[in-house]
Amino acid sequence: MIRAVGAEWRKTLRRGMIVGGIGVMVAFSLLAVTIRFVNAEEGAPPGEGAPQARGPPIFSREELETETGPVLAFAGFSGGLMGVVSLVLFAQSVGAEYGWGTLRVMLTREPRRILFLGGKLVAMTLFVGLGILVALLVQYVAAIAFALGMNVDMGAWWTATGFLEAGSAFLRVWFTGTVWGLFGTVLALGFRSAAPAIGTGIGYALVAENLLTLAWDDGRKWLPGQLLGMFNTGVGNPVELPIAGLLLAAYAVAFVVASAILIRVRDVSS
Amino acid sequence: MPGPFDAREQAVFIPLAIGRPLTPTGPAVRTQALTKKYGKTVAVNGVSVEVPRGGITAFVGPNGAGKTTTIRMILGLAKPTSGDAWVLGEPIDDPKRYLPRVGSLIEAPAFYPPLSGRRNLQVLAQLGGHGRDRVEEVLRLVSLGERGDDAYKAYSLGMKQRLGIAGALLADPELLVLDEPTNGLDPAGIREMRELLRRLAHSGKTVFVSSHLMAEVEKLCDHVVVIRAGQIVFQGPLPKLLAHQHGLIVRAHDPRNHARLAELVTAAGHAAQVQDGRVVVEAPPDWGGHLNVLAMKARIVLAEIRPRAGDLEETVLSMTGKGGL
Repeated sequence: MIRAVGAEWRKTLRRGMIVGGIGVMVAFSLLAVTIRFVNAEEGAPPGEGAPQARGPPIFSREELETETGPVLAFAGFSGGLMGVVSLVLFAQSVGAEYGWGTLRVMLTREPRRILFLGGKLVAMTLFVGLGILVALLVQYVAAIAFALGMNVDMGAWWTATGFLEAGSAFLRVWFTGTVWGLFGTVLALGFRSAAPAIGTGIGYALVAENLLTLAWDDGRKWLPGQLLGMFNTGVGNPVELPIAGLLLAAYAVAFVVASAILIRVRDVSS
Repeated sequence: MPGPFDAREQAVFIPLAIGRPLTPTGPAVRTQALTKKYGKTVAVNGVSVEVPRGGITAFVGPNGAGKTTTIRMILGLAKPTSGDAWVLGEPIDDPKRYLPRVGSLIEAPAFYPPLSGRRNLQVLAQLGGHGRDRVEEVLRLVSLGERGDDAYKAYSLGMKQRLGIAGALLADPELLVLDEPTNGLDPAGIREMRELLRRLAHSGKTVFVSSHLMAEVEKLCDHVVVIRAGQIVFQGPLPKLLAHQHGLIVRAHDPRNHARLAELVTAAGHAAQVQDGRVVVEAPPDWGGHLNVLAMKARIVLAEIRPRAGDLEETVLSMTGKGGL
């Protein structure tokens, strides 16, 4: 397994993946923190912001001065986008093996297919974790710069609770990013290609699931995209956070099992 | 897919269905009624083949005959619909027991385009548990040492092919399975490849190579397996294949006389047909003198008359039918 992880890590850590993966995560992170600070006003309601007739919502300036201040945007808006990036990265990594024909070469060197897939998933999870960590650190730096420029009190940020909030946000976003990635993996294995997997995954996440929740009231309690968004923000509504975590873990296991079956059973014909 | 023997018992004499023992010195590859169906299409139909250990065995047949499908099953990439096979004495339903001792290049070489040639091999070496030194060795062996740091996507077709061979050699394999290894190589590259495969065979390795280049097969291989429409039509030593078919190739000075010449031969009791600008006669080589007299009497000047035996391409084409190799 260590060999499979190492081989995958060696091919993942290349300029295209770093710029296209970690770079995009950092860009989303910067975008989110900028929107959050630039549109912060005193007296605005906490949470996801008060919508306006035009332009972005107005966010609470007071909330920025709490322990969660520097990571508010991270766990919310940018966390969701990082999930999408993760889905794309996982799907690209798996789908490209079919597109480039490299799967047959890899499987003749490591015929234990599930072990090969496991190595890939571990390496991709670590890579996404690295990207999310870099994005979080960049967001912290940007938040400090904004706070200094806007006279936002940072006292609560540097407390133990503040660091715990940051750590918790990182782990939540990493976990949800991984679940999105596993969803991308099962799609890429199903389609044996990256492009339709990415299209289907993003289409489901951004369109299909929202339509489903319109038709199905309880969808927000069960559908993976809804649970992932809720888990990202750390607000347990309409499902308690631990329950949401368990449901998401069940989804993750289901995606892994489906992926393992797909790679184990099917012939490698590309 | 249980085999007729336990691989752990190979050291002792185990009788097989076809009456030969499968010992560590037995065939490198043996298939028994191997069949692969895709829906109603039968890609490989009851193929029973033995690839002897050591030496070079060619696997030839037209496009779509089932060569690559057979190779995929041998390498554990596709599961047979029925039948059994053993590679280096191990059953193919457990590829991890033999693939570490097998090197392969299937169809076109496949690597990660953004990575360099060297990095691609390092990925494979890490996955297979081979040392970094081995990467440098095989790069040198295929004359890519100086271009190893170039991106794979910038390689010419010939360089890609050489990198594919390097990847196949990483494990220092006992058995090398190569699908069209000379594709994209220039004449010098083809000669280098021939020398390399000969060296490997002389060092005791088994090379199982599919190729469309009959001239190369003729120069290189000791043993030939011919497949047509998913079925084996010949397997055995190359000289036996060449002796398999006799006949004469005849060319008239004026090609317009070919039809008349074929009629004369047919009238004399031998089959003949005009094919690719010449007349192919089904007759023993020593009948050539009679044919010459017949042609003279009919006032047909012959430009060429030679025995057909020895022409591998002709022999294989006659076995596999039209459609090319």
